[in-house]
Amino acid sequence: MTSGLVADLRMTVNDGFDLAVTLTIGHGETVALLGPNGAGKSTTVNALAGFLPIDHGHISLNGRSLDDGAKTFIHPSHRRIGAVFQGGLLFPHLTVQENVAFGLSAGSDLRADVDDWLGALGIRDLADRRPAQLSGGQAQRVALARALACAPDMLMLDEPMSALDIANRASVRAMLDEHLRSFEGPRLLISHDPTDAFLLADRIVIIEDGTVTQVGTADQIRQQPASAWVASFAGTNLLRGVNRTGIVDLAGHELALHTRAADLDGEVIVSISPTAVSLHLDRPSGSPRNVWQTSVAMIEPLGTTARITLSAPIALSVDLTAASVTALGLRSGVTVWASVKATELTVQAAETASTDG
Amino acid sequence: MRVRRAPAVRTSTAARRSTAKRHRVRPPRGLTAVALLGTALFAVPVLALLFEVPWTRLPSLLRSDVVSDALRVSAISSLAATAISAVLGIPVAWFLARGSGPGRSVIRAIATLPMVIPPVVGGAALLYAFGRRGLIGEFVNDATGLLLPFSLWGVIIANTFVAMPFLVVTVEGALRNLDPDHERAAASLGAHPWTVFRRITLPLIGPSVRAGLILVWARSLGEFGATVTFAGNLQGRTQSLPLAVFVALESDRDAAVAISLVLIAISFVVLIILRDRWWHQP
Repeated sequence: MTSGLVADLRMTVNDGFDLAVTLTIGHGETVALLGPNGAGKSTTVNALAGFLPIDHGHISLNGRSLDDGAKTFIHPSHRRIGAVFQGGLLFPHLTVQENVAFGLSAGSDLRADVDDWLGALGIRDLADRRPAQLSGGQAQRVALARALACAPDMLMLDEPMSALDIANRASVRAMLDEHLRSFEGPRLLISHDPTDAFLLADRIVIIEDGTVTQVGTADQIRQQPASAWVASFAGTNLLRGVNRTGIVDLAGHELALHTRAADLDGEVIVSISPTAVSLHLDRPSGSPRNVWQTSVAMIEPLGTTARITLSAPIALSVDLTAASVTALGLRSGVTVWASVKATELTVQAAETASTDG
Repeated sequence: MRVRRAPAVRTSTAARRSTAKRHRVRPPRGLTAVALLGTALFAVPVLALLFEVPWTRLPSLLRSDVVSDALRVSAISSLAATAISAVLGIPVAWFLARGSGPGRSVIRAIATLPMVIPPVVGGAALLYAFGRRGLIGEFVNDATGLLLPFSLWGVIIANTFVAMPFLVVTVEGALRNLDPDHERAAASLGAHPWTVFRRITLPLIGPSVRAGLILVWARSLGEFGATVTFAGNLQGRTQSLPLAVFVALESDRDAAVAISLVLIAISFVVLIILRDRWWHQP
């Protein structure tokens, strides 16, 4: 594979943090690098941008080697990776126009080029302002215009939403979506926020503790989260336990679940989709064998649905329609019966699914 | 009503004066008293000098050749030393803050030594380096016929030697505190390291550079020891204002006071104008 980004980053950073991340991004593909704080996202950004050399491995962009951990090391100014850094990093002493023009080679039709980019991002009115006079969303537009104006081979957005308030996020996200798709090279979005990754990326690479723990589309990751961290935002409940002939004793909880995984004895991880759990005001009659009494700890409205978090014995996330919440009269503290069918439980051996060992 | 209105007015003035909209914390009275005592230490001698000014003779005294020569030497040498310090001192500061390799602490000690050693010692060291039989001076003299001591260049070199460390220290501190993120962003936009330094680094540390330059100029203007040792005391060539004051104290006290007045007036005006305009601008 010669087009797009091919990176195999192996390095130990000053404080002893080890990074081992492989990343490939095709032309016209948006990959989100998603991970919790301290997972190695910044180190990855620094290695790709050329601020940190890698120890082993390689980075190549459209077949051009940028760093091979030995002889080749291309200076950041020659990597042709357009980056939008965390917080925008606009030059505070330059106007918006001067910021966007910064990377353009002098000569050419500088003013016209800059004007085109300002127009494309809808910030022509701001041309004479200083960064201090911009809102967070405006600053991100300027930062993107500045990166795109250099006609880079690759686009890299490092936490583009992190400095924004919630009101601005949706509009900036829409703006990013539009401009990411119109950029032809490989696109990398670095984020700790799953929403950005799910909405903007074609493919998601999850990193935790310096290594890649899962790669897949948003749907694949939602359906089969490979770690507790992924499951926590994918909404899926991920539970550890010990399986004995299909009955899983959940670690740390006074509850055993009946599953259909009779042949998978030993340490397992059980995933329960938040839509698979039913709530009842009275003990449900009929077939479900996994029934327990609990109470509602918290209700978060999510538009037409609501996410309910249950109390002891186990804090499960349950998604219900808003109508059901009203019909059942649910609010925090209400005692309910929870049930889940054995067929709705996915059981995996702990070795393959766990990441932290 | 009046009682209520008064504090409101005061608050709004205070808010206008300080950008932070916080109530001012009143300094303890004892501190204010000590601060006044400290100010008096500077103010009383200046006042004492002002009392001695021979106001009637002043115009004729200031029109003398001694004064105009010294004024010219001081103006040229202090401004030249400031310019040379900017050209040489900023790279030294950059190296101390950002450079790599061993020996940086040794170089830092050497670069700031002139702040600590007596200027007379500095002048003597300059003689051994650039004097007629000095380490480099002999070679320079043989090759070009140029003799640095006892020339205006000598005054400029003495001033630079003594004053440049003030710029180095100020700029080094600013570079150390500068977050490298903006410089990195500039590099990733394809900028050559020299462009990054010129268009990003220098503007971002601008206030410190200007503050450092003011310190250099001020120190140069008052330079005495190194100048008199290395460049001598030749009226019209190396006699700067401080040297002229020293000489005049022996012969004509009124003239000494008059020249001192000129020095104080120049310094005072420049510091007031520049302090507000340069120091506090972001």
